[in-house]
Amino acid sequence: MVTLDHAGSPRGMARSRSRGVQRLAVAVAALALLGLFLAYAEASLNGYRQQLVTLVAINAIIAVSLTLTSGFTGVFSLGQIGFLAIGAYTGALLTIAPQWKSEMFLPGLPEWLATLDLSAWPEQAALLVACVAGGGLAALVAALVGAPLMRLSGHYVAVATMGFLIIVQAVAINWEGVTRGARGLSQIPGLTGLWVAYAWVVVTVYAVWRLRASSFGRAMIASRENLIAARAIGVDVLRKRLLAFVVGAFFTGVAGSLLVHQIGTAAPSAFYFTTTFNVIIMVVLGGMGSISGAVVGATILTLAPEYLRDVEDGMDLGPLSFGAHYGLAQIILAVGFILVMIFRPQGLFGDREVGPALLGRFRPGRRRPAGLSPDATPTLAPGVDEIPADDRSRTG
Amino acid sequence: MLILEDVHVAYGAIRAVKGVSLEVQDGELVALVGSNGAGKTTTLRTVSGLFRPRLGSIRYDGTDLTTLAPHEIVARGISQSPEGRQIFGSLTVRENLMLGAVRRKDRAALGDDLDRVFDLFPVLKERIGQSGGTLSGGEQQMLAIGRALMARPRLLLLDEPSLGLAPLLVQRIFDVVARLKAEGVTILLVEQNARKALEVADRAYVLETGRIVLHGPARELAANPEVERAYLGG
Ligand SMILES: Nc1ncnc2c1ncn2[C@@H]1O[C@H](COP(=O)(O)OP(=O)(O)OP(=O)(O)O)[C@@H](O)[C@H]1O
Ligand SMILES: [Mg+2]
Repeated sequence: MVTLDHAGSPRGMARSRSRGVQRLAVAVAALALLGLFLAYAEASLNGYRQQLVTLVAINAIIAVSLTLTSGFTGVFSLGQIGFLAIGAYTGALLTIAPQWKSEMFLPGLPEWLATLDLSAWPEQAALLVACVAGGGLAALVAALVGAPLMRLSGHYVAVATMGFLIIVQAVAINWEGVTRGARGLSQIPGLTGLWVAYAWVVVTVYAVWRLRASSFGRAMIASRENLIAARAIGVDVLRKRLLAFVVGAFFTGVAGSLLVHQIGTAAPSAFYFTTTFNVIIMVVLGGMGSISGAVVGATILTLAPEYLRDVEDGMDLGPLSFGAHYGLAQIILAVGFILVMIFRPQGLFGDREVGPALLGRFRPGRRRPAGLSPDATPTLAPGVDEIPADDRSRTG
Repeated sequence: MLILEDVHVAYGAIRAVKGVSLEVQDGELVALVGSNGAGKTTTLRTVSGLFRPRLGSIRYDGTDLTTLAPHEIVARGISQSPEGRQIFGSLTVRENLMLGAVRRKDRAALGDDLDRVFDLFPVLKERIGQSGGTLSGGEQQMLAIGRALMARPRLLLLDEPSLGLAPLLVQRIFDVVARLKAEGVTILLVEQNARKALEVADRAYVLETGRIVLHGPARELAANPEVERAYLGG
């Protein structure tokens, strides 16, 4: 594949090599830091806090997936959490011990699944199977529903993907023989730990980052920025969107499996609008087109409510004493988001990434003049004024 | 050779193109002129496969284009520089240009083609790492044309390449169009600037409210008193 550098010229080659080394160094340093942090968290944080840190990882995976599916392509999906549910139930049904499955009375399960017993397996191997199967099934469903949905743009795709979420919810509630309806599944073994959750974060970030940096990623951004121009120069918009949708669904499905193996239950209410909007806020807060922004957004949105809980309980600030005000945490958070949207409508990071931005400081020549970079977020409705992609029949 | 026969295109109930027939021979530079809303952009976008005609046929070298998706049409050697500087604002100049070559299989030759674009528009080379959205209007127009050239088209569709540019830049764009023609690129040129278009073109079609009302050698049309009154402001 052709790189974007002057690959032919010796100077270009030297530069891209030194840039590669720089990148590798940054990646190794980041991994080492992450490892140190996890070792610290494992050794010193109490169980509840460790769970919180794990939840940050799971939310980060979902948010980064949504960055791929919606942020890069401009296809605003409200259906992401449907894939979380698919991954969650799939993973849970694989690992719940057979005696619990019969106890919960799930007559809809096929014989092999009802009797499947992964408890003899090494825990992490069982979890890996549950994650890959959950992600795989989510990706398969995404490929099926994506083929018609990805033809739509703007508001239409938002509404249509929301329809998908509603269908998944209805299935989860009513397919009692498999999902146990609104009561949900329980007795899911607690296999998800800190390390495996963050290992999946690393895999997700790496995969999405590679996609973004490839010609595929450029084509996705192009179709987001200007649908007509992208199609006129030969970008197969439908295929790019579909790939983003399917890969995003895979990692979201993995996150669903990780999630239920952390909390031990899978109930439909966990996979609906509240979660959907939480994840969207994470991504919008971080910046719709930024992987690191999604991770930061997920971190803030997972941890902030916990810290703000102390505020709700009331506290003393020097001579001032605040009584308990319940609901205050949500109000503070909401005001915070509103302020971010007013002062940084493109989110904290916009389209940019933390890594290259830090590197960029050492190479002033490559820096964009401040204030000139059009890191505007994709609008909700790119190209709705145009004839919807691949729907030429509407004019004929 | 591109042949449109009795092509009708409508946006819902709005009939924008009502039976256009035209052809572009290999190596020719054909101009399509007409006033605002005549249907020029619609015609070009239909050739690119962005819209599907209600009626009529579009054939290129014997292939029916009306059933193909836009990317398949680009793969057959037809690329378009769309109306109104439609570049990708957050991508760099280089990324914009590389995207023009998404359908190319011969990736090895891309370096040469990049050089060719920089040869035509040296200013793009200076702006190579800059994001497209920060370019001036004229630079964006050059970028859109350069991007279409990166597809190494056999047929180039140019939709108002001189739109909104200062006279000096208009001249520069037309020089480039003439040069491309000299290099053997077949061009279908849509222009408001009928005078300039008729100067460089071999033949021309005049479109009025969705219909071709006149066509012939560009020189003859330029001398036609009716054309002169309606489009050349004389
Ligand atoms: N997306 C659309 N929906 C509805 N009507 C449209 C659409 N695009 C164009 N039209 C209408 O179709 C007709 C032809 O438009 P078109 O853009 O092809 O004209 P044009 O010849 O390119 O004009 P201009 O010189 O102003 O660019 C116009 O009447 C226009 O209003
Ligand atoms: Mg037009």
